[in-house]
Amino acid sequence: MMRSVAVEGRTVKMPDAGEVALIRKVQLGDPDAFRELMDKYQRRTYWIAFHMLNNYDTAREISQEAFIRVFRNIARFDVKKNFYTWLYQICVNLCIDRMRKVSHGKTVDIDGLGGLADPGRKDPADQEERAETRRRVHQLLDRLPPKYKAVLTLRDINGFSCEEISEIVGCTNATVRWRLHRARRLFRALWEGKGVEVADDADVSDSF
Amino acid sequence: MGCEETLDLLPLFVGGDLPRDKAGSLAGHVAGCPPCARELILYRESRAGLLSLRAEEAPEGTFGALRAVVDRELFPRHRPRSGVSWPDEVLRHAAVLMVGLAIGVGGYGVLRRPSPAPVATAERPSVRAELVGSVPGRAVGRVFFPELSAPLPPIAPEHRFYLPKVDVIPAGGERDF
Ligand SMILES: [Zn+2]
Repeated sequence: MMRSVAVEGRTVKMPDAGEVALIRKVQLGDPDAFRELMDKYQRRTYWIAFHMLNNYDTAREISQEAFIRVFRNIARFDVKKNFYTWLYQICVNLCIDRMRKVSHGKTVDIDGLGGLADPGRKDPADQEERAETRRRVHQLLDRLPPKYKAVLTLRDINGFSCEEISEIVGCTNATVRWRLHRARRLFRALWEGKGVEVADDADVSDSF
Repeated sequence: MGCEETLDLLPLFVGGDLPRDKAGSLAGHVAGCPPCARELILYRESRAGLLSLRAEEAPEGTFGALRAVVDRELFPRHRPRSGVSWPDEVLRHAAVLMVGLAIGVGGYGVLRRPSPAPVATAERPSVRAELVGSVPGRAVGRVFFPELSAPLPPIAPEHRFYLPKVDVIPAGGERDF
């Protein structure tokens, strides 16, 4: 079993020389270089997709699709830019497309939640309680509009900085902070069981 | 900072997303304002729910399957490089063979120890005579004498008085006589 690990508060990482060299090899069509790149990024890609879609199989399909698209478009990739934000952008966009196709509440993978048990905690009652919490969080996240869900999962669950998220979702830092502000308020209201109107409203980012 | 501004900024403060100066003045306000402190606790509780998703695990084999599908789709006729070149492979096998041989030879030596080649006695008669006569078996623990490998008769208490002086007993040898 693989565990997701999040890093708190990092800023945008600039591409290092080794990775640039690797990407150049991929651009020349080197399959092994691409496999190396995949090994480095497939876990995070998968977790982003899973937290967005709450379904193991769909998360894997979306990750596969993201990597296939990356390879087919890598000739056009500018190596001076961050590869990982480009890859995650493709992944998030695929997730949002998928979420819009599927109505809210239908992507909850109740049957697949058996695999969420934390092996570090042996107490079955404690494990069940944690699994129940995660089940509930997924259900609440599924009620959020995709753009709020995206920033919330990228920031709070996957630990990306607002700067990284602005590259991934393709908007300004102020817009990311506005969406994050709104998403945390909405999520808290849902968490407390308050009936809230969750509309996919326009971004108002002037004050952030 | 007042309550209204604090309540407005709490969603960003809870995730560490405020500039340091604003975060500092908000923390100062919350420390002295129980209603705002309660709001902060509620935000922290809901965020803790989100953070719980960090501990999730993927089903066994997820990443192998992911990679295999991409590989099949993009490179149907290309086998992945193992990452180990053939000279490395040969050296690795040779090293394993050497270790195996060393263990085998060492083990053989240990097993054969009680019956070595007879040449030792003929070459070292004087040493043999001197030590056998005085300290049968005890003072010669680190030197191999084939004659002494056979079971020795019990040492009579009076023989102990003929033991050599302590300073000729091999270093690390027994001294509790
Ligand atoms: Zn207050």
